[in-house]
Amino acid sequence: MRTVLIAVAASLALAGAAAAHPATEQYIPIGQSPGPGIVSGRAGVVAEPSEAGGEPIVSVQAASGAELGAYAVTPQTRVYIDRSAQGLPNLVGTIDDVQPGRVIEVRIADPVTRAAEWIKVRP
Amino acid sequence: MRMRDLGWQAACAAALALVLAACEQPAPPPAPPTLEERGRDIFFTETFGGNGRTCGTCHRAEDNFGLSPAFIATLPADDPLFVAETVPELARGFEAPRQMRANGLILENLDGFEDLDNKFVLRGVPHTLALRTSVTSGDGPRTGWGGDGAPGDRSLRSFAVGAVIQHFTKSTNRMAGVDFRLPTEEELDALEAFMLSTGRQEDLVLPLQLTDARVQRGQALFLDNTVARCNVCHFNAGANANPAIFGADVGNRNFNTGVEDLPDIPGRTGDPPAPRDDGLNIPGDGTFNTPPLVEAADTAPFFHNNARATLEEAVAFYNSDAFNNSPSGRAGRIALTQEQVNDIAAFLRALNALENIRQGEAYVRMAIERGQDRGAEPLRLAREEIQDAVQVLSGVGLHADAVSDLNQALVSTASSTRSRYAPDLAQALVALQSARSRILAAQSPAATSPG
Repeated sequence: MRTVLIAVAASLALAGAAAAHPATEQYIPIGQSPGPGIVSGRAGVVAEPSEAGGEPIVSVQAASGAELGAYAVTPQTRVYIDRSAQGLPNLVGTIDDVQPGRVIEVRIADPVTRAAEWIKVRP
Repeated sequence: MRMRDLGWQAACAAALALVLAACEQPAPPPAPPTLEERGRDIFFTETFGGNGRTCGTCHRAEDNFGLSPAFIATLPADDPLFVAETVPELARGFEAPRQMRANGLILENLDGFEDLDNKFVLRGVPHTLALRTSVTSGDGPRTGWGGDGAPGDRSLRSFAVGAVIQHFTKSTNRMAGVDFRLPTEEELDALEAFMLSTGRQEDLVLPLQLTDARVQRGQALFLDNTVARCNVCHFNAGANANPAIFGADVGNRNFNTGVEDLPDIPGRTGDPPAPRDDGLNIPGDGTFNTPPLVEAADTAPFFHNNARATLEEAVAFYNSDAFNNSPSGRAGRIALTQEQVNDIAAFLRALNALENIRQGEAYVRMAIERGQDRGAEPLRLAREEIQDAVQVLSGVGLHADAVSDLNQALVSTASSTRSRYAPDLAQALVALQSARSRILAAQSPAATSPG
């Protein structure tokens, strides 16, 4: 019986972890994303991979210049360019669009690794 | 003299007004709506500045918070469900109206909105009952058929944001602030509170002491992890996986059960043909999350693509090559006899009827509490629950004695005059309790607790 149950579990345990719905995120401007785990401010240091032990790091600063946190940009991190001021949905961008001083919003995918799920940046 | 009289009269009038004002009891201010009540209001009336749809457009209270083709057929042409047929900006790439009417399928752009003509899936509307028992998983919240229906933090609270963007928009530009407005944080809190309040608030604890031999056999099969294996993924007939097999905190899970491999999915031959749905993630891994089964019997059709129309057909799916060759079916072939299929379905029908009775009783009590002037709505909902129980049982000739009690409860809830209101509803409660006792020999707290 135990063998059967293990076999059942092994054959059934093929499902991946639930993820956020990325498709609709593209239509949510900076400041309107729901839920906790979001840090807003201006982009501070954008460190190169070599300086950050393998992954680029983006820091977020408050208006006062105080650092609010630094977050890893992984291959899964999506970058959106906020075009709400032009009446357009977000555009998919790259880490190159995250320039120091720009208004950004970071959603933290994992508070332990501080990996960013996505970064929205206002050009 | 005349001036003095007028002055006297004015003084008397002023004094009288003061006396009346002092005597008048100001009406107590109405109690502010609870978060749940505010959420109910938003769920059924708030269009978020969009095309006229609300959450309740697809999750119909009259259809157990789901949407079946049979119910769609009863709606008028100007129902907001049909905006793709009436609004030119939504005529293309927003819905598949013929599929909606024929098969109850709703268009979703789960893999992105960049190619609306070719990149979409068509899914049934999952009911939103018992969400409190079904959203949590060890991997975080699971919403929608894929388990990944919400943006943001993936929570039920955030689900409404994605739904507004997908389904409420005035045009396929989907520009926030133009085509719709996004819900506020307060609105999301309220919507979540309401959605969590509907239906069961906790899972059953099986086995139950059931009276009917067919239903008993069905329960035994359901719980046997080597024959039908239902209880492996639908633990206690809920939406969560069996913790003895998957771990204590497993909660809701996704599985690839091969439903997409069925050769006769109605939507596949519709207009346009429903494309293959790859489930969770982009690209998909072929998995879909597990719905609760207690509510199954009155929420047909079944599976994410409405592939099966009846409960018995849905149970029989697990005999199919599609399931037995799927990743979830490879642990050992399921080969139930038709009698076993019918027994399992009878068991699920009995569970559904018990839940209808529980919910019906709660609504009747609410109607009694509110009195006749404000009790019409809970009474209407109670009658719908009781009617569902009648259909669920009588559809296969199950528990004729309980059906008789349920019909008596319907009579009692329909005939109330002002003087007979409370006694009639008390009589309805007695009839409902009797109906339960016909199905359930010994009352289990988990099966009868108020929601």
